[in-house]
Amino acid sequence: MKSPIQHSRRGGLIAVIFTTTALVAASAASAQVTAKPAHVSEHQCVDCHRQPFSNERSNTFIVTNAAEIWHKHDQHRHAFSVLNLPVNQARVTSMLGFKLEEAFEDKELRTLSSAPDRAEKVTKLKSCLTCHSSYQTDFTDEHEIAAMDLADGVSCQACHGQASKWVSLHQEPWWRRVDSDTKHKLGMPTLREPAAKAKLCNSCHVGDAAQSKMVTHDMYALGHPPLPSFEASSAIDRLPAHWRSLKSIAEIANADTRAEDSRSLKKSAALIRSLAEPIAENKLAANLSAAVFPESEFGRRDVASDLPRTKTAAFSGIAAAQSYLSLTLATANQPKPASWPEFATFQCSSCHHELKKSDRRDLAKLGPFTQGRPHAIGWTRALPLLIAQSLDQPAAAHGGTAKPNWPAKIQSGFEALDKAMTKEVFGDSAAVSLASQTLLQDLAELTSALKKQPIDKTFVEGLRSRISGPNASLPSDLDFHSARQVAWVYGQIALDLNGADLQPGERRNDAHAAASAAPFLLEGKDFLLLNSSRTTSGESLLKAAKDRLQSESAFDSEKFRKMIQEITVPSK
Amino acid sequence: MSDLRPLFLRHGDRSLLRKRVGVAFLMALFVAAPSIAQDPVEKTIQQGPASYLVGSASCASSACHAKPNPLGADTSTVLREYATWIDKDPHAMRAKLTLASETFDAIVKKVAQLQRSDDTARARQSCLPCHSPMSLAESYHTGSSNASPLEQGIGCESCHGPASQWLNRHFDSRLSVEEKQTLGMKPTSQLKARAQACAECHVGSPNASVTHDMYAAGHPPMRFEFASYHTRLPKHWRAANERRRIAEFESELWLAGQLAGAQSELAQWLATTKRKPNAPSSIEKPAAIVKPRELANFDCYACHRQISLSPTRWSTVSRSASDLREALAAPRWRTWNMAFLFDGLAPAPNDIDRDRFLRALASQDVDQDKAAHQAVIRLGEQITGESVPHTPTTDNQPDSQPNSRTAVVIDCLEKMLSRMEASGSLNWDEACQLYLGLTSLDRSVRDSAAVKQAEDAANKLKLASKQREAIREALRFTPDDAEKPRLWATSQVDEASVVKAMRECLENYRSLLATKGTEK
Repeated sequence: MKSPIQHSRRGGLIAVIFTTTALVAASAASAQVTAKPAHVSEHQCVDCHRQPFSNERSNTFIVTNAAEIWHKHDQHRHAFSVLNLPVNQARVTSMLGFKLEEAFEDKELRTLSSAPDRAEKVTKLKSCLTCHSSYQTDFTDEHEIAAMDLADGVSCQACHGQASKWVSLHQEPWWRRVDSDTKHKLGMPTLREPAAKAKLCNSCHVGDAAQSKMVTHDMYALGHPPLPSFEASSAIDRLPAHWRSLKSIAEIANADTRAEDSRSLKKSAALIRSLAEPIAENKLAANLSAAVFPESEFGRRDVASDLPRTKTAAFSGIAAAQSYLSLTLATANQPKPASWPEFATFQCSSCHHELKKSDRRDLAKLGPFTQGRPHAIGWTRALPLLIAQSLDQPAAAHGGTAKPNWPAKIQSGFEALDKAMTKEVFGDSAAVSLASQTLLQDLAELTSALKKQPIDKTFVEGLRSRISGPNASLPSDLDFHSARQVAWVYGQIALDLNGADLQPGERRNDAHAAASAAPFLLEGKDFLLLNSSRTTSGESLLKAAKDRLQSESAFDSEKFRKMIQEITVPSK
Repeated sequence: MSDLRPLFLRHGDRSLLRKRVGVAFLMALFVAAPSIAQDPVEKTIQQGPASYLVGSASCASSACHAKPNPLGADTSTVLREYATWIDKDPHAMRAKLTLASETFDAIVKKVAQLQRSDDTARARQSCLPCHSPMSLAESYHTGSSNASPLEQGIGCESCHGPASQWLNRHFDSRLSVEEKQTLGMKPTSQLKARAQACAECHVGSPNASVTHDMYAAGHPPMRFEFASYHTRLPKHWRAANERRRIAEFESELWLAGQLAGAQSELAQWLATTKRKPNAPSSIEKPAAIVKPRELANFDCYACHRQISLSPTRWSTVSRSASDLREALAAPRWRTWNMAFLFDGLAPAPNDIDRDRFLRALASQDVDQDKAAHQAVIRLGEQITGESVPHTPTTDNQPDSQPNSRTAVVIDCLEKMLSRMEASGSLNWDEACQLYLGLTSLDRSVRDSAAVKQAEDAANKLKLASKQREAIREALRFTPDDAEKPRLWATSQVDEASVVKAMRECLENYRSLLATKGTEK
């Protein structure tokens, strides 16, 4: 199937002219009226998005070599194949309880076995595939699984959503004016929206109980490397960009009203009517910015002018905590297991530490993290607390109601969680469930409040002053992973205040990396491993995990506190 | 479960442990009603007449056990027991100093904190059954929880039994050991009874267990090995006589200690395992929420170790997936006190191997392996039911033969060592028990008259001592350095060479003992 693309000569804009193919596809989709968006073969994506680099035009709306960039440089492509690397085979076998190929029809590991006697093995493998491929737990149709190419790892639709309902529509120029809700219903999350993007990344890199994305303690014990702390904004920065910055895309899209000439408008109207769930007229916003960032949610301001990296980091900080809490909530709500509770929601080091005299007798440290009871994972709270402190006081007239005291609310929420998780050994399930729910609710509200918050220079400077300098409000005893969170955000702030937008195909260069990590070098060494190198081989993945464990045990919170007190943003 | 039933409520009769287990079991049924557990008065009534502690001062009359010793004229230890105890025995002075220390207060405070209580009295009480039984008795009599723990150490009655019923009669030569026992006096002249008395605190009992909260608050680890403790204890009895009286004394000592350790461990396990009344070997499925078993009973290093990413961890283990999961992902039951239980000490239950037995001990879920769970209960009841447990014998060395006891010891060590050689890895707890077993063997060999006469014995003994010293070095923690890990780092130890040294050492002692056999 080919969708011809024609580059419009006028103004260098692209007009996607529809052939009957799209209409046929759309009516086929309308046959399954309420069916969920389904996985489609990604050949369709590649047809348009995998142009050679040389054909890319810098000022077009569509990034026609996105797939090319991704294929060549993005590590997500190896998410599945990494399971079959010789160096990882033993641990994968021990985790699964059988050899990987036993769940497949073929030795090349392309087709999942359909033999009834292997169904159990396939089911078990699927709990890995939720993060290690584009597989989703709601794949109901055998065709969906067949359409998935495991060799591509975490590919297009893992992030951009299952495409059956939108693969045709999104080729229409008016698609960019469709609001986020509608796109989401059709299966496409709006990744321009930082909250959605942060949730997506964190769902694998931290976990998401609703999507069965969770690394359990069994997996860790049987060989899964420990999941490190994660901050989406800097992680995205380390990826080769296959997208344009929000600012540049908004400029192009909003200027591109001519794309919809009368002819294509007519076709569009017909297409919209033919949909099973037609898109209402009022769901088409004036332009891309208005569609992605509706005034009702984001206030009367130009969202594209927000400082993008800090903004994503702020949303990611909250999303990481939400991801973690989805796991504590789900494990607490499970019927009480007859054997051990799930250990993976507890801080690894609360049990996995050496028995030192000073450790055991450190009686001054009697906070919630006291020794003796395994406690909650700590690093996901560093950023939500900073964000809560940095939010503007809204004008009294604005909401009418008094603004919640965010810092106190979030702080007490985490304290309640700590109490619940240490009330007895391995926590009191009912209390953990309640604390998680309350905190999830609060964090959802915090996210809404953050959406209304202009992430301008004032905000970013405010955030920075809470991290470093005389008014810093960081807790004094940050652990390694919390310190990483803070350092990453600090780096993103530095880049926002100094850095330039990355264009598609551009990777963060050494200067960028230096700008973000420079303040956090100890004797020239990236002791927090902020810029972990991209790796393809199993050995280097393993080495990275080993390095992390080593840096973690060598981490000195007092030194870090001093260091962060004294740093300043490197200016251009 | 922190049951605070004072020590003085204990019986001293032959079926002491059986009864205690029974009581503890009854109490386990009442866990849901903490008011009962907290009220000792009610229990006294249930118990009927009871022995109670009267205090060490009652023994310390100059005519009795505290005879003065003018200018060292009388060198006998007899009738000077009290003086030996108060001058030299750590149970007297050091026990007092422990309770007076800042560390003790800090531990109590932290335990209270972990239990979410501002009131340290309850936390303090849970220490007293072992650390100051007399003050617990006093607080019982006076109704105050603030009795000074300083006044008494761990006194005469902690080992000899509460004296209220025998204090005025025990010097009556017409009374047999058995009769004294029914009055509450423990037959400590028998090594097994002696070991049991020690194990009640040093391993624990249903009434006095060290919890993970206590460890976390700073309680030192519990690693009791009767023979080595016994060797170091200042004797207030005729030790030389005793060694002459009891054949193969050192081996008897070691075996008694191993049995008492397993007995105490299993008694505690049984007390926290719900069983149907009148059907001791069946299991009642707990209706309420199952609480995880007390963490203190698990192998410390199952969790307290650095996370390892070494691929050998899972690639070399040739086990089934579920075994691997059990071995790597779930906490393991601590084997310190039961190291030799299936290595010659007790017959393994039918078809239940050691691993399966340990898993059943650790399991929260009785349904996971019902057969193994019942086997544990049966063995537990069998072992704890015997106040003087049966000492095992070996097939190839009948009881009547010389060295039969030492042969059992060697048999135990051999079985454990073979297991280590087969698995290729060391468990620190077991390796230490093996080392201590070799040390006991060393004392046995030195005791043996035949070995003393044998040619070349001195050299062989010297060599064996050197080997033991090397093993000891490999197994030891870095002492007294707060910042050094208190963890035995397997990565820093060549496990194979330790196992090899143990093998050489064992063979050395075996040949030394064989020398004696051929001479006979």
